[in-house]
Amino acid sequence: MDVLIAAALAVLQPHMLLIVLLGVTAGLFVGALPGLTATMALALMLPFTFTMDALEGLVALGAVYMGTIYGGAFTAILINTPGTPSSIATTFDGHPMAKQGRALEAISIATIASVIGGVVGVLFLLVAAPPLAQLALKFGPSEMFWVAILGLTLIGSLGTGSVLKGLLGGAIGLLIGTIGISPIGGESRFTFGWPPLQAGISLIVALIGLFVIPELLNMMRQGRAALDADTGLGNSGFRFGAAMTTVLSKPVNLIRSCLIGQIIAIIPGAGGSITSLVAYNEAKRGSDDPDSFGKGNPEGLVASESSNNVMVAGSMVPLLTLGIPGAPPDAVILGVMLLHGLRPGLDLFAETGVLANGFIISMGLAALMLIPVGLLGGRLIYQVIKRTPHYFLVPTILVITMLGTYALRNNLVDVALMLGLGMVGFVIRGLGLDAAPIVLGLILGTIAEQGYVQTILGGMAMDIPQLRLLENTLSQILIVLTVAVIGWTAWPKRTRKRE
Amino acid sequence: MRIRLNTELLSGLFGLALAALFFLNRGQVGFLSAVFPNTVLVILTVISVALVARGLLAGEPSTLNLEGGGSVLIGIGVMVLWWVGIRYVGFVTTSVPLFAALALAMKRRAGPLASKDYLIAVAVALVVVGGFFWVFSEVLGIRPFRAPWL
Amino acid sequence: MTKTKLTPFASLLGAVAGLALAVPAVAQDFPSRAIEYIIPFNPGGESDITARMQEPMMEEALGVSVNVRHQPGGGGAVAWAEFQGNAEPDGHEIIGINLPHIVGQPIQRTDAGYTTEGFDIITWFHFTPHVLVVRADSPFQSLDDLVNFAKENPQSLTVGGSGTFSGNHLETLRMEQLTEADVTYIPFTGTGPLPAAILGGHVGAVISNSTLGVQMGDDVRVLAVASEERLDVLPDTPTFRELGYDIVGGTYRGVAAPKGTPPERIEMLANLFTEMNTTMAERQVPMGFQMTDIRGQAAIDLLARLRDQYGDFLTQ
Repeated sequence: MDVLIAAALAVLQPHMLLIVLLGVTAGLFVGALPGLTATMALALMLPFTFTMDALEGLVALGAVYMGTIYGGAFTAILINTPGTPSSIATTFDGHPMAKQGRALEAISIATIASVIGGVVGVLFLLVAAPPLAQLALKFGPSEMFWVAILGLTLIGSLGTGSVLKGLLGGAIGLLIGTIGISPIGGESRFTFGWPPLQAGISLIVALIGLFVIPELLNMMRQGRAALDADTGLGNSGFRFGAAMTTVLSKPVNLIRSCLIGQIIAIIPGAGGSITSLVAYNEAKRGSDDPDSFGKGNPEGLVASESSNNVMVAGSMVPLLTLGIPGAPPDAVILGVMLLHGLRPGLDLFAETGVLANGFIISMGLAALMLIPVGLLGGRLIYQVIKRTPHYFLVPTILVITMLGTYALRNNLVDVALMLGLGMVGFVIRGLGLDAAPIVLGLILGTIAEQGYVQTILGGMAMDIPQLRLLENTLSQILIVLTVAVIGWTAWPKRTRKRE
Repeated sequence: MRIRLNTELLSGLFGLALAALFFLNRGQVGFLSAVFPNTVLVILTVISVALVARGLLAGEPSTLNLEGGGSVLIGIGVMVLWWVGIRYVGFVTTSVPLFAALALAMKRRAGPLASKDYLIAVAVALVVVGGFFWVFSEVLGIRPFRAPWL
Repeated sequence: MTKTKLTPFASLLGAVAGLALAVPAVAQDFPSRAIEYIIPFNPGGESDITARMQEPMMEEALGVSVNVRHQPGGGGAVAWAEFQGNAEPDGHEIIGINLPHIVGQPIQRTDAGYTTEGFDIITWFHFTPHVLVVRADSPFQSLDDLVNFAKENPQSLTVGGSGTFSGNHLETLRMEQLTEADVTYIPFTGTGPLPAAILGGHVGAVISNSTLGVQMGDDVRVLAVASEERLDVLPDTPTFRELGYDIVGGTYRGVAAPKGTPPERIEMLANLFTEMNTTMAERQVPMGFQMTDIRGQAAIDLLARLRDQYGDFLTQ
């Protein structure tokens, strides 16, 4: 307890609060720009952290991380474009709300849900890190394979259209994910004789291409009408209290989403990209009125934004206790800790408890700081988008996405791939193939492939190496869950049709 | 203009075409690199065939609204030109005129353009393109494009 | 944080290089603009963090800004290919290079897009020798225990490492060849997932860089290190050579300029990197790095030696 108080005192210094404020603000705007990821924001911060002491550096990185993940919500709500992969599910209900003239309400709800998620993640980290870390270690190659398969069952309920088309989209995503160097074999495949394709199609490139470009083409086609059906992005007011009531009125949804966020966050390599999708899906499944999802139901927004902000502190569990980065941005934080001579692990808490706990507390502060920064920043971004005529908005977004895609890997080929995927995406969207299942396939394909091939390799001494996939208890649990989800998805559909 | 399309049949055919494209370019790779893509190709083919079958047997043509298709084609053309320009001419030199052109083309659909509009479009293009280019290259540190001009 | 003593070797090199640098840097018209320093890997990796430490020191020494940019993809191949194709050979563009990557990829892939010889290597500035690591509660107390088990139970011991036909993989194959142990090598995507694999018991052992062995501390036991002499930070770990197996290898990191860059500029940059190594050593030696300065003919010989090793395994 003394350690916690000392840590809180170390963080509650004016200059620390200033670092958190600046970090959250910078992160928010970076996160709102498509193509700029949390990992990149943290990497850009690295040289600054060398001039700080260890605690200051970590506090700055934690604040930027929290701001970035949250910032992705703005563009998701306002222009149907997830700023980061973790806000894909935010588009599902956030953008319909904006179209109904409830943009500011949606931003307020997203903010409150993010703050709650962020704080919950910090609490988990403070009280339950060691047992959660032990759970994280149970996820070996075969478990990861089943996690990916379980994730793929989301496709059944993600799309608004036919399940078969959703599955086709998922398979296309899996296929796109195999382009480039194979994760286990290390050979290059599907490069079509073109060396730049060795880099594969990055998730972010596909995300921007498949979400943003069709949206821009749609705006060119329909003009302003594509952005806001009838009310000019709406004129609903600030509505902080009402938003708070909305978020808290469904406590089950909130708690469930936070738990889901925490569990997925500790699975190394699953990353934050699917937390919001899983939480969204569960919110929809648990709701009395699942058909209202995708049409502006605030519950979907709450599920997405609370779960993805749990992940920020949540993914620090394996990092701080075991030195295992749970998500790509954590790798940067690990690097900074090592440079400052800090060895992550339980020793970190024992030997430098003030520093470790101070870092954790500062992330909670960063989450709370989202309330003023997010509501003001959100209002600003909203006003800019609302007041800009659509014929300037479209080319502006195009410039930003092209620069953002280039910045991702300093590679102009990525920009061409992004534009090309976007054009194909626009055409197949007309056929009823949505972007979300394709992106989900792309995320989960690599995880499934690694898990499968590594498990089989590990079973080489057995007669049938594939049996190794069924060996562990956790794998068996995941298989049962998968079967249950498939059954659930198929069953009510049939009964509903009969009605 | 509205047309009626059998989207199930078409998406099935798209899936089959994609599967064929990847199958023909699978190259010579070892078991570790081939086992997963091969499985995916089989799955993709099965789903596509199912879609084609459903499209042929119980297809319900859906109506597609093609209005504004011309604008979309212009948009696609602008994007292609834009990339080629960034690659071979320069980022700012390409982006300013294309930004202005796209904005004017979109505005024209709402009504005739005044000469003032041209000036405003170019001014906005200069500010937006220049501003974001500065932010990305100086603040966020992206590498300059390898093109003859800025 | 404690400051660790430099190895005498590194201090000496730094002092010599510092003197050598002082004179020509003033006399030349180089650099005349910002230096572009490309890192062909993701942010947060060892190459990135090293470059981020070098960046301010280079700026101070050269008087121009130094821009570290990431261009990840294809295990480095995308950036290396683009660099060999387009970079100006005037010393203002440099790129991080890694061994054995730049030897292995062009041999293994038909479309790597670059050649091993297509760089003017400035210097290999540090080295992380391979280590063989098991979990702290593993029954294997020594390399012999592990080898004996693997001989009696062919293929049932799994050894994790980063990548296929990578340095880790090659070292595993060489260990199998020299010790007659029969293990199953399981590739992972990079070094990142290896701590989880070993702590979670998903693999029986791991072959990785010395930095991992240091970082994981008491959670693991380092059975052997593939360096010529024991590491200061792992004083109780024997080398493979002490145990009777001639295995020395690991990952070298360095910087290169495009082919055709003026030799005096290469030399000036090489001196600068060597000089920076004295400062870098304070932070990196305790993390398990060995500072090196392999340049000129020695750098080319190193490439040739690695190519021979690759050739041996690919023809088997």
